[in-house]
Amino acid sequence: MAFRGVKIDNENCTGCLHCQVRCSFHHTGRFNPLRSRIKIRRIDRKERFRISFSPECAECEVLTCVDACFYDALKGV
Amino acid sequence: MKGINPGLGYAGQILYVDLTKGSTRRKPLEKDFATTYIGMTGFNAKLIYDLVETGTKPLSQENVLVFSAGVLSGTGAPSTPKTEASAKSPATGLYGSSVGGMLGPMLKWAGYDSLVIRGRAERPVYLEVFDDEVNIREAGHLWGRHIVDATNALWDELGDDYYVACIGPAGENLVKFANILVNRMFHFSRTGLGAVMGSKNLKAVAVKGTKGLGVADPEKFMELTSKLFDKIVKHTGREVWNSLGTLISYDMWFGMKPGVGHAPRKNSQEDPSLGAKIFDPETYLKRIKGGSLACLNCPISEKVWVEVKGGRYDNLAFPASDSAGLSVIHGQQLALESFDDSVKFFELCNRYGVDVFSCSATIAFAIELYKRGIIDKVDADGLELEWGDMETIQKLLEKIVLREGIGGVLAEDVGAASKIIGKGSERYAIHVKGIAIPYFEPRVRLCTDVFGAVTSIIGGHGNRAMSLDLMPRERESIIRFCEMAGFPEDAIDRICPPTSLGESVPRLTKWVEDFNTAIWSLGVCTRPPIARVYGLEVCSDLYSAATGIEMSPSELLRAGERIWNLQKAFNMREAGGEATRKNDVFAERMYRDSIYVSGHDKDYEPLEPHLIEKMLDEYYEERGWDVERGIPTKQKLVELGLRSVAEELEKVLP
Repeated sequence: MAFRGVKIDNENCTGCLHCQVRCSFHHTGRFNPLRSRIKIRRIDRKERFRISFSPECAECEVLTCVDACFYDALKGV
Repeated sequence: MKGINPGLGYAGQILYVDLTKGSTRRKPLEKDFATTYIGMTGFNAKLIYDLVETGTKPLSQENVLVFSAGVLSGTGAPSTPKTEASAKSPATGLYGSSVGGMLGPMLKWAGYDSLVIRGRAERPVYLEVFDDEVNIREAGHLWGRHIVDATNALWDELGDDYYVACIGPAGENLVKFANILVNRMFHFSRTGLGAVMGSKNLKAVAVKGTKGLGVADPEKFMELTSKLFDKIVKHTGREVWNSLGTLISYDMWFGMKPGVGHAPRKNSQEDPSLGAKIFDPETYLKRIKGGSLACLNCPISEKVWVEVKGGRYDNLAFPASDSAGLSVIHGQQLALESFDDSVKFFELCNRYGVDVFSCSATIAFAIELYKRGIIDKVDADGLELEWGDMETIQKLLEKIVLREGIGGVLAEDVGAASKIIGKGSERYAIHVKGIAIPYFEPRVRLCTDVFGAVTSIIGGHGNRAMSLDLMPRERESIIRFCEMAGFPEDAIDRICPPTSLGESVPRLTKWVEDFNTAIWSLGVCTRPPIARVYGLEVCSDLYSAATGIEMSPSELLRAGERIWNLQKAFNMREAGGEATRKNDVFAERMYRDSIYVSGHDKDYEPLEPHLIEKMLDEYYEERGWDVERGIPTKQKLVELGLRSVAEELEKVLP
């Protein structure tokens, strides 16, 4: 799927959470995945992941999460 | 003195839990403590030295279990998931410690740099930490359940956001190599810390933190980390690391390259190269690996989601922290016949909560004793022990976990088990200081990781001395490594004397132990594509940017040395004359038997004792220790700011 020109590829996600760490820092001044707008969840408690944006992401001016991803799970298209 | 800035780099508090009293309290992190011991490895060393009373029995309620996070753990710095668990080891009576991942960052997000657990609960409990709320909760319903089950049950109860450090039946049954698994994947595996948790009736620690962490100088911090990420992403080995993980060292494990063969078979008797066709990268990628996983903020995805395709264990799926640790080491020592059996063995160890290294090594030890007639079928509870026989091996594993029959003996780890069995079995016990060491072959290659198993504080594990010489290196590479790690010029001259072609392994070991200790204290991973990109100078810059406290590279390295000496001092205090030079010794087999490597078509001779002794001389000399006894001098301890420790030790080892 694509969201604001970002293509999500769940298969590529390694669960490193760097997108969340950077997102939370940008928006709250604190590093913490639990404060992040972008969400990474395990599927059926397996280390296979589903990435989703929150409603607030629609207003995000930077999408620092895309820049943070090392694995092409989030890609600008 | 101005205090630390809580929530900037450091979380700013230590959480103390007393399970006997059912009480908890928080203490602010003091600046002097923080700057002297840095974090993680240093915090654990100081807390264990101070809080464990001399002579404490490791499985008594007086033992103290500490989990600490690195200074950068939980920030946005690359590859900083590191967390260390420590206690007095029930396997050795010495400093017990294991470095793992991921619990630390969550502890920091909840507001704590360290978690200190003392006492013993009357009934099984688990500890729930949710920011400022700390609860000791009933865990009767979790007791007896294996790690995956118990962790899932806790996630059902508390929510999947919690990071859960859990023990299995082995920890409950006080197996001396029981481990603790975080999110049923990240290990605190060595030195029996799972048994310490079990002895406290503590099934699990579940942590959730919503506070998060800031840094003192965000602009500088982001600039430094962004450069680091860039370098790691561009690292030439990255693609192969991401594909193979630690199987990247396939050639080195199996003796496919000259001079290296680190994975011996059949209790370190047999040719490493014989397993090369079984544990090959092609099978791994085609039939074992389901996907890549990475630790927090790490561009190297060397961990693995296992999803077995076909064969006996079709569809077996679980997360694993290390691809070679998943297969090669125990697969080789037990002479398992397929990659699948090896993966299954690892998965069983994770469920029951035992360290795969010690567990496979004790079973290999038992099989060799059986083959030699030192133990018989009666001793083995009616089992016929055979190399590679997965069915019997699984039965032995289960006996160990339940401490049933022969399992009760093997559950003591190799060193102690050989003393119980006697009958000359000691000569086949492959351990250092009582802790099994099933990999890294000193007869084939004596590099820092291998020599470091002997000088190791915890015994049986050389990873605290990981450098770059697992395979032969050019002199220039060694010098570049030393410069990256910030070693002083005169030390580099001694490590690589201008007149000699090779490096001095003992001298390099000393310095790399201090370096790894320092960067672990920051929570930085010591894997090659990470540590070597960081280097000492960036570590000190990041420390300052994160905490707002100035720390020069040489101060940081000095702290590494201080921490190392303090850990050694703990061993001296607890074991007296046993923690001296005579304890720094390889397993007897290494001095008696040769080993053939078909990949090199070469017979490697047993170690020559006088050469090892000479290496130890050099190592102690480089450490500035008493060379004859292999222990820190009073002068060295005082120089490192450990005067009170020196005075205490004078009473133990005059």
